[in-house]
Amino acid sequence: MRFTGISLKYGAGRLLFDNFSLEAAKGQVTCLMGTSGIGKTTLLKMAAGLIRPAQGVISRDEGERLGYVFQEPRLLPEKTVLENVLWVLEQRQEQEQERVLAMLDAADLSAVLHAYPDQLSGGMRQRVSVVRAFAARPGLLFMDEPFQSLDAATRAGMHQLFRKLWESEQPTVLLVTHDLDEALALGTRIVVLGCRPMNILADVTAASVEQHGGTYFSQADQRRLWQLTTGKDGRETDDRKTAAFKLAPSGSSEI
Amino acid sequence: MPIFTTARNNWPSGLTYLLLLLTWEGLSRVYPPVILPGPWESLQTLIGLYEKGRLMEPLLYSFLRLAAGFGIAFLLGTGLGVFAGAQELVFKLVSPAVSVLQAVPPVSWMLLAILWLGVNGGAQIFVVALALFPLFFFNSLQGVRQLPKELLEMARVFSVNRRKQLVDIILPALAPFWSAALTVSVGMGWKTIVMAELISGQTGIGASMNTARIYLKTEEVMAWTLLVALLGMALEVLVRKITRPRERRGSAACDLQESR
Repeated sequence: MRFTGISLKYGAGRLLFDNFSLEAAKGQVTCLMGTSGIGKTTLLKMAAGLIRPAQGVISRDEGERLGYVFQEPRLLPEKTVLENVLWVLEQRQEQEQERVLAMLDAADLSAVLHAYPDQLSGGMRQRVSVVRAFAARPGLLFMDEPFQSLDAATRAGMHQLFRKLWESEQPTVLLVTHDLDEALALGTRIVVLGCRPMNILADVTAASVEQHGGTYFSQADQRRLWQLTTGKDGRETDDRKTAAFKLAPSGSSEI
Repeated sequence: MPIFTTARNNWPSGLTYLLLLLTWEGLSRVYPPVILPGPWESLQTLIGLYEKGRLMEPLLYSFLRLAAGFGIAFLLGTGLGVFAGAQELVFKLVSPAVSVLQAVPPVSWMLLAILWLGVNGGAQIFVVALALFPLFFFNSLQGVRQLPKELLEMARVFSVNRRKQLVDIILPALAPFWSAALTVSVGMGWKTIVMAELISGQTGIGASMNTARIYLKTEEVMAWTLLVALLGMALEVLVRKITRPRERRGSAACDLQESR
């Protein structure tokens, strides 16, 4: 999937995107990082066709199914866990209960198949939302800080679940996260974004991808990413300096 | 102690009804029947009316008019309300007009309707429909504005078809608003009908009440009033029962809390 020359203004003339381009390679997990409010969610929503850019082209494969894990679970309150997951499937796929049940089992949700969302803890709801997204067999999956609201232990469990599901379905994933550890653990590529308008500060591809969905980034890349994502003050200039010797030319990048 | 609480909660309202009845009875003993007939006498008059065959026809007339006016108001009100909720331009065009409509007293509409349509031209239906229309309009508007956008967005991304979106997201979200509108409007419509018939004075409960008044048959006026009030309350309870969002689930698993 590809963004080409995207421009968008937000509210009172704040320029979020100005001729922004990015391509996410097929079957890869591209992690998008950057400070809050720079338009990462907007970027995902544009990719999913929920927001139209003022200018530019967003191209996806024809007929590609989409999945989305929102920041909140967004489950139907009047449907059970199982019904919620089946709800997003096409008619013919509803025969695939078996597959869905296996996924729910992998997510440790078999005990609550017939429970309603308000009977679940926040972590469980978010897990349902992740399973739902994978169950839809998306060719393209968007995840917007899906594990942000979870405690560390639950998050680690979710990472495992994500890898398990990603490995079996192999969708192209665009994952927005604040957490570099998460990006290093899940991503096959990490893109650090700067703001106003959005630009690419760093673009790092994993040195290797293991069999079981685990990824490995080189020490040098990891160090640079830490610098970029943890520095707070004077960050803008630092970032740009760092970006200068990065593989990514400002504006667009490709794998 | 839930049972105790329930008993205490139910008791005062029952008592209030009883007190009202006693007060009515007490006053009726103070004043002559032509001023205030008692509850028993009113009830007997009502039964008498039924036996003389003078009860069912007016009742039927009034009911049919209510049903017609109610139906028209519901269709137009919700239709336009939903439309206005979805389209800002429609809202801007229509909403002030509906507000004006709401501000005009039903009595004025009644008098005008008689002049325009004649006494038997459905003026009463017209008035009820006009009186109820704003209720349905504004409630539907409100409902549409408060549709769960996040869920609709989710449905869109997953390309869930329109029918499923309507049945599982949109209608459940609109239901409480319609329930409120229906409950309020059935009681209001019922009273409006009687008033409209009283003014147009040919058929229906209102007309019968007017005739009774002219012949100073206070007990008949009271009997009709009793009937109208009781039926109005019954209708409201009925509509509330029918439209209340259904209680889901029996007892789906109790120990769901996560262990981790």
